[in-house]
Amino acid sequence: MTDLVTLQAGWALWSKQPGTRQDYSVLGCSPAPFNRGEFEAIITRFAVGSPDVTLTGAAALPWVTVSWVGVDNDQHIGISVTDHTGQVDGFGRTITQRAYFCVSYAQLSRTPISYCDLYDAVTAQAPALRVADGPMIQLTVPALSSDRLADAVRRAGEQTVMATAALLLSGPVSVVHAEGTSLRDRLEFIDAVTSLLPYGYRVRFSGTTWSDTGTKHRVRLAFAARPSEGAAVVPWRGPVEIPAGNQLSLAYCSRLRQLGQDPALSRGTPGLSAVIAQLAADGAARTFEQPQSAFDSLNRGDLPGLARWLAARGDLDADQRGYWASQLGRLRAYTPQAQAWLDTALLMVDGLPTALPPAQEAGAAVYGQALAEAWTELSDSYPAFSGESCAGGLARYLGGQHWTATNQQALAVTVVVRWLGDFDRQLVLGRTVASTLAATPAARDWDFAQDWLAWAAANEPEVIMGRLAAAQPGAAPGSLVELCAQAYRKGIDPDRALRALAKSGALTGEDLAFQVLAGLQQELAAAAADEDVANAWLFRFSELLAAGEFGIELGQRLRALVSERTRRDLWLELRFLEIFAAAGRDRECEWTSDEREELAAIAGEIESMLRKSRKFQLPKKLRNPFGGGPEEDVVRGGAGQAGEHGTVPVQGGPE
Amino acid sequence: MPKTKGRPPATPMQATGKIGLWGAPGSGKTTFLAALSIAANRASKMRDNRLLLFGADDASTDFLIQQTALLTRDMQFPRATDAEHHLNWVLRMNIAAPGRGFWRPTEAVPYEFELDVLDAPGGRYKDRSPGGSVGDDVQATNLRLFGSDTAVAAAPQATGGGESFVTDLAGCDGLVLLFDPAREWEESDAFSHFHGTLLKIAQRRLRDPARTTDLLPQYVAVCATKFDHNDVYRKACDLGFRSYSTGDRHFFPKVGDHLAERFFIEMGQVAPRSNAELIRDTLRNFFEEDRVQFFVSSAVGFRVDPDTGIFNEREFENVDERSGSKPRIKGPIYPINVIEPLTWLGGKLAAGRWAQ
Repeated sequence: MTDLVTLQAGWALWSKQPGTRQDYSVLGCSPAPFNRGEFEAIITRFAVGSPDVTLTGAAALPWVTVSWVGVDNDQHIGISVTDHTGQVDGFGRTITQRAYFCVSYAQLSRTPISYCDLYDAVTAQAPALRVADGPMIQLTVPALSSDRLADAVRRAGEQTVMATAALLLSGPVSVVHAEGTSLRDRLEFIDAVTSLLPYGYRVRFSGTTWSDTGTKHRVRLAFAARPSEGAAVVPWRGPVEIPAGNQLSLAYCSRLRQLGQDPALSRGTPGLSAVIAQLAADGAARTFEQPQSAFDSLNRGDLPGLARWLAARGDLDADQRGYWASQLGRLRAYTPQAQAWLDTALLMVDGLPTALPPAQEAGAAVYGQALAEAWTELSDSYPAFSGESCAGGLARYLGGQHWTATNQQALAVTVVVRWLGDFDRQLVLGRTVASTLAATPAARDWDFAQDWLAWAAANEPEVIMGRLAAAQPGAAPGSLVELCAQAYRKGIDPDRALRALAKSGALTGEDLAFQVLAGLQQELAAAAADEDVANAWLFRFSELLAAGEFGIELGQRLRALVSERTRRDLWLELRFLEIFAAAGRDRECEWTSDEREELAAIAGEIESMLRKSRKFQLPKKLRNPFGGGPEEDVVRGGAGQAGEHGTVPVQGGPE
Repeated sequence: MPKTKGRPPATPMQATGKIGLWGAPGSGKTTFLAALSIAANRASKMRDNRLLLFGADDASTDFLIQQTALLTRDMQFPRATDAEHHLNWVLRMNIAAPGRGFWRPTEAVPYEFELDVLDAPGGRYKDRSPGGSVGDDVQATNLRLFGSDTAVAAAPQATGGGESFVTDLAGCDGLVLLFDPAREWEESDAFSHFHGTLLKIAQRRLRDPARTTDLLPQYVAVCATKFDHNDVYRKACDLGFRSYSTGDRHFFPKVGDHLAERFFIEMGQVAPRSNAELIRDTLRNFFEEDRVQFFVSSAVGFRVDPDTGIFNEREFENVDERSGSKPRIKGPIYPINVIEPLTWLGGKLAAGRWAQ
């Protein structure tokens, strides 16, 4: 059975005395909550045109306008019904009347009602209004039914209604092409649209079932024959386009669509009726100057959905990430699980968690487990999601927080980080925790910190240097790469670290050296190392290898290996270029001006490199170690002459 | 001024001007606008000066189409205005511009004038007496009802309610003040629909530090309306204002432009409580002499006898007010001094632009 709400309504009747030459005015009103002049100000403020009583279709009377009035704690929702009177004024012009009613918002914020139900209640009262003042009237209105409103949303077209609600957050909206609709259709549309916004916006919302386009009215959602100037346009039940730059409306609409999906068909979505109920329950008064508050309200009950929505988008640029980081940063979660989902969403957009993990061990465990489960689910479902990236973001956040101030908070952080071990392959998070604990004298007395301190001690720079120097010949390439990576992470100078590795004699062959070089390159890229730092490591490694610091013969063998592979790759790439550039019956290459210019520059670069080079003869045993390869061709391309290794300059010299 | 037929069309000079209509309820503001299109077409034919009036946007074109049909097809008057209505029209005409030599002091140049017309319910212009309606405390009322935010307007340039329309009116370049003598004889309230509004315009414009004159800068076309009304016409005859134009093939009576101001005052004086003269004196006090021009007008004009094709003194009324609950237009309408106030305003505003 539907709950009923009893409301005291103020009222005013706006019309003309028949046969007179006076203008429209308040002919009668209730003594509260406003006086006659105030009723006049309200009614004229939300006037939407001069109705033509002869018109038919959607423009025909009655016109229903919902509105608002009041500030602070004295806010009201208004509804007016403009209709025929069948009378004429002193100039013989037909007279219309506008019956205006208002009810206090304070009661509605606790027990929301729909505009359709309010309309039904006031139309039952309108005939009783008199041209003389009278008492306030009592309205009995059913409490809002989210199921009925969900049906209204579906009838009016979910996509259209959701987009209209989202557009209302950024400005007025005109609904056009609704000439064939009934008053009930249009009022239900207004109800459907507003049901997809937090109820609290009603203290600033206005809508009308028809308006005169020539009147520059103040109504936010208006049906009209033509769109109002500056209003977004929504065709009745038609496709609605939200401008690409309107990020909030786009996001709001997108989230509404996600949340409104049928729960039976889409796992974890609350469904349209639940979304409407949730928004209706959010009666905190707000204005459209706070549009982001709608997004907050929408997400409050479904932070997992928010994170999934972000993970599904996956294509955010830096501006969008910055925007969402600031938007999400204002949200609050009230359970460890909800906080885990919110923090996940924040980390996805390069934002930082809004708070440290719960300082209670149990809460931290729940939080850490929820994070791990969320990241696992998102990794499995959304290719764009990166748990490692989130771990890196969490490490950055912890690096800026004083989380070792108390034993409990520090314990909570370590509990969380242990849950995230699988997502911390680069040990970014682990190192942050270990090094912070190592820098905290009090941590030496904390039992839970001992393992971390030991791990940190094992990763001290001198320890790492010692391991590099003591690396055994024939060690697995992965372990050597990890040693170098540890040195990089500890900020050890590449020259110092690599010379220690060289002295160890661990690199015993050119293949192993090449694998370590390539592996280090990958490791630095995965660790998002600064490009200059990464280059310093890789170039220094190459230079030391080439200079024979890892052994003369190893350097020469590696040189031959690299040279061979690179030349082979160059030939391969050139062939690809040729294949794809061939066109026409003769299969001749076709190049654009840009391509031609760039290829000429590459050719010039090779030419210049050869001119500046000296001729060099590999030791016999190293010639063509992999077989094949047009070595002569490459040499032929240069201008070098015969000469001893490292002694004869190229003829002609540099240009 | 000559037509430009046979010559390549000159590119019209362009200017914009915001025109406000001002007058008591029922003074004929909306009917005046409704008749404009017909008046422009009739005037073009009569004076050999092509006047083109057309909408600058869809809503304004709709208004012209609907209201012209209402007057000509349905033979009815527009409904009472219950909300401010904005219309954007273009009036293209030839006007006298400074010539290019001492032997040609003026020449006709095509001029395109964009009219942003504001039509507000007449009741909005009424002075609010203390203890009455919103009164002088409009701002305080709005603050109490709608907060400090006048920006709560959903749409840009939104009006409605309060006194935003006065601000709009004060921002106009030209004003058309309509005075209905017949209403004045019964209600004697023209002054109360004039004075308060004028003071509010003055408050907004004369305290503007950027103003260039000590007086109000607008041009005001004052139209004594409903010249076709039986009582008005008879009184005009009795007072000796009626004359005829020799060039008018319908032999419509008229009031010479040089007598229009006197007509305005003497029509008012018919009612002992009327303050028409005070309206004139106030206008002269607040505006430069050459910025106020009086016209005697009629939106629907006089009836043309279908048998003779000319004005018939015995049955001149073009409106039947007696046979039904609503007044009904009897035949084709011939507006009198409806487009002329606008062409006068256009010419003045254009001249003002050139002077700058």
